[in-house]
Amino acid sequence: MVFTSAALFVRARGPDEFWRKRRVFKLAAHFHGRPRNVYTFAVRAVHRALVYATKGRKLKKLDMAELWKTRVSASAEQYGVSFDAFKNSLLKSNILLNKKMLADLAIWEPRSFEALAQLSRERAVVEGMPGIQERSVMNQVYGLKNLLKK
Amino acid sequence: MSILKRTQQWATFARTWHIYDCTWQNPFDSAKVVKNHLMGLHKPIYHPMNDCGDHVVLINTGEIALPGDEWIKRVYFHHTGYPGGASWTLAWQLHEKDPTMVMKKAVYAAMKGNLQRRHTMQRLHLFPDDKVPEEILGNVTSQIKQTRVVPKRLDHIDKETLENFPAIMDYPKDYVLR
Amino acid sequence: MSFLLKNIVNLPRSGSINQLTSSFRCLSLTSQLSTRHNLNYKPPKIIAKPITPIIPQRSPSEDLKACDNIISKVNNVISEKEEGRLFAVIHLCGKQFKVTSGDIILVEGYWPPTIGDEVRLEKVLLVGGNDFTLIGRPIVDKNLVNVQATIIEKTLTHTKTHFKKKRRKQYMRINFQRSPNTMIRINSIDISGQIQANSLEKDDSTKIY
Repeated sequence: MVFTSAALFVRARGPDEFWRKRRVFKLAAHFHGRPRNVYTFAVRAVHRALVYATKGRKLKKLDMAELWKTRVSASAEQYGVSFDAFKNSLLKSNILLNKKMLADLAIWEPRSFEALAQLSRERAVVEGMPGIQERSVMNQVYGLKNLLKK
Repeated sequence: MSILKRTQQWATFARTWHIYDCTWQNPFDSAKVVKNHLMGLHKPIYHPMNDCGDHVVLINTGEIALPGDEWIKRVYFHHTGYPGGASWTLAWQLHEKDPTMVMKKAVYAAMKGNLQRRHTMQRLHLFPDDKVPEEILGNVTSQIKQTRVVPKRLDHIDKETLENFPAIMDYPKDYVLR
Repeated sequence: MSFLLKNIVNLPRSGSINQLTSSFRCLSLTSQLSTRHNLNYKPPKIIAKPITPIIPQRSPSEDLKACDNIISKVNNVISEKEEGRLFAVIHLCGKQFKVTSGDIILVEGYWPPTIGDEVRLEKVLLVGGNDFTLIGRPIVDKNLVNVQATIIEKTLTHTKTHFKKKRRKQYMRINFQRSPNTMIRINSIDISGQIQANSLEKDDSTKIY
């Protein structure tokens, strides 16, 4: 670099500035408006985004756990068993499937899940657990009967 | 997509119509159950981004039973947006004006306030009595279990059963029945 | 009942268990709503009372017979090779996976096996076929089920930026991390051998899983 005057020497902050800004702009490429084009805004937005991304990695796990719980309790209640009774009675029977697997089984392997639900139900009745409802005409899984081979 | 898969997809995401009888039910307890069906929370395939909610037909909303002294203590607030436009309506007054309103607001309040809520409410059909249009009743294939048992009223029990009901004791001869 | 639970290692979903629990799913709505075009239709009042703990009225010998019946049916299916494509729930590195043959699963974090290694996954929690499911307590007998897998790839994850910042506190930290990933292909899931009624009765407490 050639500095013709003291003023230019002060202004030129070296080649690093270009690369430093480029690094931020690359991360801000998909932002909208000034956060994409103006460095002062971009750097703030990128910092915020990176913090969110860091926190989000933990939150994703919590969200998935919550979703599995919702799904498993929905499917257990189709068989008149509450989530807690279902999980506890499986545990008492020494069946250690986790929530993710139970949710997957409920969606993709409904007949296997039905076996688990009936098992937990009988176990819960034997153990005298609360949260067991009589199976009624309501809220059934339809079509399971059709799957059974005669 | 094969025909089989297409049918499976259709069958999985088809909307079921549920019916729920509000007679003598606590609207706020019922709302939790109804909400689950409206949002699809009762299905194993539930996902917040997955449009798998069902339709719910609420009948006999005129016959709801609010707990305790809620009829006179519960206040519904409305503001027109203009100065002095605030109004407070007691639950019994609102119920007199529109017998479906208390139940509707209970379900609305039971759901989390997001952009989906108003669309989800579109799948709720309320009727003050059991006069449901044929085209709606024709869709219904499922019934939601009531949250509480409806007790039988004394004046609804037939005379024969009442007379034959075993008495604990006989009244003394000189006892004056009022 | 307790006997059935003891032997539930091999709880299959075949004919007789359907009979045992047919009351659960025997109801259909069509008869309930046959009058639905009637405008004065009142849905039947369903009473949701908590179930009283009724232990099914079956003698232990009946239970034993029912179990034997089920197990022999499943054994028949297996011996005639009619079980269909099997799926299994396996426990691997602290996580559970539902797999079938041909699947690729991803193990996150450090795991010693290297590319090309053939491994047998022994912690099988559940195996299912067309007509039956074997549920392990907690795992299915390892002589019974054989899940073979090959390690096909060992890589690192994409770079995860660990960025912390506190506003107005002059605090900012940035770290980059990549953790190892291992891809495993499931080669085959087979049921070898016959199911025994008391296959898990013997005490396995000395074994370290």
